[in-house]
Amino acid sequence: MSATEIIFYAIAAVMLLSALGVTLAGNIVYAALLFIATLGGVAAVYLLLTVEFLALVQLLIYGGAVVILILFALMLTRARERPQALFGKSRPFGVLAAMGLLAGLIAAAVTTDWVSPADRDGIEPVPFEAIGDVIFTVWVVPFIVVGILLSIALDGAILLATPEDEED
Amino acid sequence: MPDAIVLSEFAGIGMPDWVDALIRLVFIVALMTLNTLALIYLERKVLARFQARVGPTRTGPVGILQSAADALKLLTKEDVRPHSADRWVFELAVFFVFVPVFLMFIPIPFTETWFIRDLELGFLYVFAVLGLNIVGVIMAGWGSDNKYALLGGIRAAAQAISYELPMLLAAAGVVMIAAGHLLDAGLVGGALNLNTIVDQQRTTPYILLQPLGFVIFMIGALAEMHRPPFDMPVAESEVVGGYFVEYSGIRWSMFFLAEYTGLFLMVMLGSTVFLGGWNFPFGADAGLGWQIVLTLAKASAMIFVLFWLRAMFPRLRIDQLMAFSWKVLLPFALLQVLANGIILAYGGPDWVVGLVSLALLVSLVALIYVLVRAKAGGDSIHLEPARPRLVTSTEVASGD
Amino acid sequence: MPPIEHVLVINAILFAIGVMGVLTRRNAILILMSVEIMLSAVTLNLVAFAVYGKVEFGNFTGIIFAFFLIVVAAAEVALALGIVVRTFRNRATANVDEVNLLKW
Repeated sequence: MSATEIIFYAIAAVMLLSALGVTLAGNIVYAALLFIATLGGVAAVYLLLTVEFLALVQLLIYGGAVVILILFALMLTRARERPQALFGKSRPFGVLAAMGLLAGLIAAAVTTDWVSPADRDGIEPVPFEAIGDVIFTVWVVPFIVVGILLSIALDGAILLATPEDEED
Repeated sequence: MPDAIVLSEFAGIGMPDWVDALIRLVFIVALMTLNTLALIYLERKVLARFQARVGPTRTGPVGILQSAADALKLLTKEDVRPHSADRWVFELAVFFVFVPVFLMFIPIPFTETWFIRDLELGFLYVFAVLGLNIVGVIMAGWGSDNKYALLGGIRAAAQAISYELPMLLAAAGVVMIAAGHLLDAGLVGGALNLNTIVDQQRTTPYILLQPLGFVIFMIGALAEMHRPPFDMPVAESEVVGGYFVEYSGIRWSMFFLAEYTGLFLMVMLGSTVFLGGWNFPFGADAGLGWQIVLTLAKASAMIFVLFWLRAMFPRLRIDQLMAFSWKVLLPFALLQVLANGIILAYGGPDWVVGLVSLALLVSLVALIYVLVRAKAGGDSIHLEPARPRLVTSTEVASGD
Repeated sequence: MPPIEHVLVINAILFAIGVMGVLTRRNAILILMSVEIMLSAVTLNLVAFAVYGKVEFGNFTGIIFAFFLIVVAAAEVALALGIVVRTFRNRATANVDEVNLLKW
């Protein structure tokens, strides 16, 4: 087992445990902090898969914006002041359904005969110049559509957050 | 460009790559501790001069040991944790604030060959890690179980995500120009590498091409580091010290260390991205001695300006702060990116980029002036400052 | 790097954890976090396929899709949190089972 593999499995373990923490934690802010650890683990896996650009984008968008927004919403909805049941009535069903799904996914992943040889030592790093090149040539229309989507989402968020003065 | 000086060559022993990087990081941490002490002393002295005082004088010659004495006092203080505070969040918050600030130093080039690692995506990396330290601030605010700490933490978070955006866009203008220059030289990519950005500024620092970008970057840096006039998260008169109100002793001093190191990092970033770092005006041939002096001189000048701004402006209100970022700075930053894109796409010369950016800067300043005038009641306000008048004893006696 | 089956199994576990969170939690923000975990698992899968299959298939479209997924997820979070805060303002609750005005 090479050093990269040991690091990979260690990061995967941290990632999965903290993800489990997000779904099981009894304290809602702990769940949010473990969520950060999960996202950090995902970024680290990107790094190990040699996609540094994506790892940094993940850190920038999730670590810098999404997590802050989530913590913000937690504070605004006064998570700490009002302790309450965090699990719904459908909990046993949810756990069972997730287990079933997991069994199906793992069976599919293991039984399929993947083209990629499993015993290859290294994977070829993807140059980020090439990613940029492809985004702005082949994928330029989706890129613009995503930009429009983002501005619509921003407008929507502003509209939702603006208080309606007539009602008050 | 030559490769970085490898420490193992100095020591004459071989060592793995990551040990070398770790040693450099530890060196930066030690250096920044001293730097923080010096900055606190200098800030007190400079502010005192602006306010016609003399500042610390008692400890050592001209008070030079004042910071060291303060640090000694803080280290020996008791480390108090409130009984109702959330233990894990409270204690881990310090590290979430402290560690990202030092990690941000990794791609910053002090000279042509002095940096921790030459990251190809260094620019993106710095901004990605910059967002992380705000998590620690929110943790500190929430974990303290103190409503002022929570308010301070939420303010800091709102401020950080609002100002990160115009700051990133302002600096992205520089990356666009650098990418254009690199394309002219027949190179694809590399414009996100901070050392390459400095390398491009041999004759013209990018502040001349992007004056608006520089101003927005500096305002953003002030806000990101909670410096006055954007220090609402730590304002004593509003939230009694903000998110670190419950911290004391060594943890409190770690917050301060992170704050001043962040300040130094911001000016180092500004000096590399906008002022030409080690390269402008003498170039790479000047030798490492000149290069480090140039970099630090530029950074020091920017720090002096930041101290100056602190002495000059009153604190903003939180809603004014948010409105300023979203309604003024962000549109202007986007305009600059748009203008750069159009000019560079049609192959316009550099001076056109600079001129357009300057025009945008002038209109930004004019807009702020008009807005402030309108807010203050139009033409009826007196722009001349009130002069202090000597009051004679007879006036006091007659009750005038 | 480990064989691709291991990466896929880890992503499958991550996805299943996300599903479990969505199905069992009742606080809207926690559900949102679980949805983000599911999206992360999907993104990781796309990246893994792109990186492992790059030599055989000669392209890395999965990375581009991952990039778009991250951006769309950010937009989704901004909107969803806006809705949650709005709901909290109107109904003083962030629990999805208490937002039942349209239920019959």
